[in-house]
Order: sequence, then structure tokens, then C-alpha cells
Amino acid sequence: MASSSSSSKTGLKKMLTLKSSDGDEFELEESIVIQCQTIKHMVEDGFSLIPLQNVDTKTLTKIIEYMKKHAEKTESNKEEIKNFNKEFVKGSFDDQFELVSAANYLHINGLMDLLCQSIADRINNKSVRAVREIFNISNDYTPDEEEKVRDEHKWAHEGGEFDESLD
Amino acid sequence: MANTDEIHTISLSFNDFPEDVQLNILSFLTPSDISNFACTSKRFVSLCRDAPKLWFSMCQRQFGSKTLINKWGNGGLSEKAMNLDDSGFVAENELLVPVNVNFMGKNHVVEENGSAFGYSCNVSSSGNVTEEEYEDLCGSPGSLPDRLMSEIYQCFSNRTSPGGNGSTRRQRRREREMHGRRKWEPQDYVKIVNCSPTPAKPLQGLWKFPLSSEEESIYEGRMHIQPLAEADDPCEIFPSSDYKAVLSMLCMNSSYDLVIPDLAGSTVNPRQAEGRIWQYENGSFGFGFLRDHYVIDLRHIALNGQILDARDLSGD
Repeated sequence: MASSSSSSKTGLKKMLTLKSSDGDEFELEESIVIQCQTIKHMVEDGFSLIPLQNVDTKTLTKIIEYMKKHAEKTESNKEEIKNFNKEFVKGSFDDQFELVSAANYLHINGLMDLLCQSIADRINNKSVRAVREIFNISNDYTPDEEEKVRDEHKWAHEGGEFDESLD
Repeated sequence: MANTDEIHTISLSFNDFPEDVQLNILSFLTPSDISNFACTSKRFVSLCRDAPKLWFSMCQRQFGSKTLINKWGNGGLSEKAMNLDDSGFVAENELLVPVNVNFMGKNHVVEENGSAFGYSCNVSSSGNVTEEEYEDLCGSPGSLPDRLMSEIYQCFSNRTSPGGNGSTRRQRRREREMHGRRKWEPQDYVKIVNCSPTPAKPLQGLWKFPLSSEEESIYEGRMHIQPLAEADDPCEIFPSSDYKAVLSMLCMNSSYDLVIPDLAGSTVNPRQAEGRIWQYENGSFGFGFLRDHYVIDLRHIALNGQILDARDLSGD
């Protein structure tokens, strides 16, 4: 684990403390944490205790898991990272929602792309009804309006049938 | 993981994401999926319709490696991405605007701006080519340009400056009657018959240079001179009177000597000459060089309608 960074000349790694909205503290090497742009800027401004009021402990634990893994990224473990990513995005929409919000707030670009891609994959090829169901989107159209809007967009459906399943 | 304690009361919705996150997610989708998503609610139909940024980022993700999307819309040259399968977009003044893509027969695509529904422009609803008409022109009913072709169009298509186009004037007039005013002239893309692009050679066989009125007058206005040795060759494929059959042209900045090695040093007038390749309406080619008052027309040298041949340089 400690092999992730050899940049420190003194052998002492600079440590930072992240504090979740629940008050839990996590101590991490700076080299891991700077994947996150928001924190990087705070570190540059001299902070070493970083309160994250928008991120709860559960989500922060996941985010740290992601950052630790990706700090180990090298040429040789691409496959391992890929599998990690695949596992990482599994979960309910609610789980993903928290992660996306946190990743967006913390500006972790790699994670943001990973999560957005994963959510997009859930939308991909799904029927309108299924998308509403999966993402809790309430239908605010009257039947007439809905018919009209579907008609305007019917070109999108010419390619074939959409998937009605909810997973 | 913690599904159990989340089942109660409030469930999170896609609506709860900040707008930039929503757009970020949507930018990973294909145009047809975005359109489908837009149908889910009023909120999202307006989000998808009024967010040029969305289309920019979507194009960036899809074609970012193949083109410089950030440069779109800058300066005089406007490059654009077209997605012939689903919809079209043009970058103009940093904004993506919708375009209609019309198939004027198998080898000719006209793209123009304007669509009643924001991004949802597509071939079949454009109205310029009706179903029967299209099949008529196409000869092979129902077959739009294949996947490969559209990918290639997407990857490199860009726009030349608006100009007159003699050979497609007739088609234009018809469009004008149907569409009235528009912001810019339609763009013509012409595919060369029997010379299809491949992923490795995306430019091969695909031209996007409509004949400008200036070029038209050069071609029609100047005397065409053919080398004597070949003059008795009856040009069966290209009746010499039918200059109007020129469909498009490609400008070459090549030297006379360079192009015809045998003539190197022996020509009376070994200056640089501006080259031209003309494509005729039947899909075949001619080429020649421009001189001050005449055109050295070498089109009869074209064999079987082809003047260009692929050379495998790796073997040399």
C-alpha cells in the first residue's frame, strides 16, 4: 500500500485529514488525495484538515477506496483497475446518486466520468417508461402532450425496439 | 449495498442532480437515447433541446479523437459533425445548431440548417426527399448509406464557404421552394461512384467540394485543349459538348512537370500550373491544368472513369 508514492524525499509522506459530514476523520497521503481537484486547491492554500460537509461517511469511504485504488494505477495493472471500476459502479441508483454528487463536489474527474458513463449505460436503449421508473422521473405530460412529444421524437425509435426492463 | 434502509419514503430522482451533472450524464448517450430520454418529462425535453453544451460534449465524446471540436465555429471555416444516422449538428459561433441531412440520391448528400424541433432533425422527416422520390433516386429501396459511410462522413465532414453550385442548382431551387429563407446555403457532399472510403482512407471516394460559380465559368468559359497525340481518341464516355455535366471539382496545387514525368524538362512552358479534377455527373472524372486563357484538358486519359489509383508505398 505504501508503495504508491516514492515522491517524498524525506521518506515522510505528507498526510491530510478528511472529515466527513458525520464527523468521522480519515487520514490519507497527500499523493492520493490530490486526485480530487477541490481538495488539491485547499492543500495548495495550506489546509491539512479538510472538512467535507457535503459528503457523509459512507460515501466518503467509497470515494477513498476509489482514490486509493487509482493512486496505484500503473501501466501493468490496467486490467485490475478496469475490474475495480466495474465493481465500483455496481449498486442502486440511490448509491450512485450520492457518489455522483460527491464526485461532482470534489471534482474527481475520472470518477465523475466513470459514474456518468455507468448511469448513461442504464439509460441506454431503455424505453421511456423504463427510464422514468429507474430514475424516478415523474411523468408530467397529459396523454395528449405525451403523444405529441413522442411524435416529435419518433425518429429516435426508428432503429428498433427499446428495452422495457428495469435493470 | 445498503438497499435495505433506503426503501423507505423518499427515493432520489434524476431531477435531483444539478443540471451540469445531468448534462454530463446525457453526454454519454447517443442522439437517439438522448431523444428518448427527453420524452420522459417536460423538464428534460427542454433540457435536451436548449443545451448546446450537451451536444458539444456529446460530440466531443463521440468524435473528439477525430476532430478538433473546440475549434468548431471559429474563423471563416466552420467545421461540423454530422450524424447521418440520427440527427445533425453544426457548430456555428460556438453554438451547435441543428441541420437537416437530405439524401439527394445515392451519391449526393445535402445538408442544410433548420429544423422545427431543436435537435431532433432527421432524414425521413426533413421533407425534402419523400420516400418514393428517395427510392427512385437511390435504386435500392430503403437502404440509407451504410454504417461505414456515415461514420466517415461524421469523422471528417467540414464546410467550405457558401457559394453557388451550378450542377445542383435545380435541386437547390426545389429545396428553396419548400423551405423559404435559411441562414446559410446548403452544403453538398458528393460521393465518388465505385470508389468508396475505408476507415484507413476516409477521404477516398468522398468529395465535399461543390463546383463554385467561379470554377464553373473557368470550366465552361475557357477553351479546352487536348494533347495532339490523343486528340483522335473518341471520348465516348465524356461527350465534349456536355460541359454542364460537371458535378464538382477538386483543386490541385501541383506542377505540370511533377504530374506528367515524361514531359519534365521538355515542355515549352514548364511553369507551375494550377491543376483541377472534375467529377462528372455520371460519377467519372476528368482532370487538367489551367493556363491563362485555356484549359489543358486531360480527361480522355481517364480510364474507366477513374484517374486515381491507390499506390501501396509501403512496398517501395
